[in-house]
Amino acid sequence: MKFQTTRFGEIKVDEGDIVHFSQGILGFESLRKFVILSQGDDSPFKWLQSLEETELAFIVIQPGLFRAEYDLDLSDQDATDLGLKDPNEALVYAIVTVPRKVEEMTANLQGPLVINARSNQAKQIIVTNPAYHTRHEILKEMRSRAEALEKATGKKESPKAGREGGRKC
Amino acid sequence: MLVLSRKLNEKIMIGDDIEVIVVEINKEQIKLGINAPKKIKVFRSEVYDEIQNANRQAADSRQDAGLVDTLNENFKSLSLLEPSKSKKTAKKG
Repeated sequence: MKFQTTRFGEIKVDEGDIVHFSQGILGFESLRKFVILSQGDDSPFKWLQSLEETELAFIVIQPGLFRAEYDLDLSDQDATDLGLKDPNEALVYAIVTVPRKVEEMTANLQGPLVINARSNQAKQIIVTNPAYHTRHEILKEMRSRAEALEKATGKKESPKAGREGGRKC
Repeated sequence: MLVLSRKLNEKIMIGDDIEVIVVEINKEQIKLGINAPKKIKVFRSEVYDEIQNANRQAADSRQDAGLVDTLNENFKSLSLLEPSKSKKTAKKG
């Protein structure tokens, strides 16, 4: 199927790639169909493009890429809404806000997007854990993680250390 | 909007399963107790509004494809660390 987008022109999307938000996304409740677009194989930042509003696309990133821990604590209701049979089926993305100073980009960890990788049902869930809010500075958190790691291991990690092969896009 | 007056310790039922109680009344603030089944999320409305606002801010139509390249560059220059957890990512368009 073909869809129009303002940023990428016409895109071709298979039915199996369409992500369905049965309740929409907060503030955009009427928009239900999205697709995840990647700019290249190794791109941590991706686009969640609306298939119903050509102009609407969110920049998203998986929290696991910049934080060691992210305790979502999916509620029973969330798991039911998503049709999750197994927590491993859940793919989590955070919506990214980019301010004028690009390096101060933030991720919303209070309202993550959870996608059932098997069924492509998705939902923006509200996380009640007070440790998470809507503006986590991505680069800052990566730096803290690096420092913590350095302290723990007593040495700087090299770029190649322990890479488990690239993520598939 | 339904507006009900309640005195201290009086309750309101919402549906069959949700109970709201006035637990304390102070000059500037009241404390509400909520009994609801676990499957119902209860949170201050600021949280909901915050997320809605964050979403709207994030959906900035001025952001274009080039921005993601910039973000990736910033990110990669810091990626000296742990392996990215190689979770299967969603398919791309």
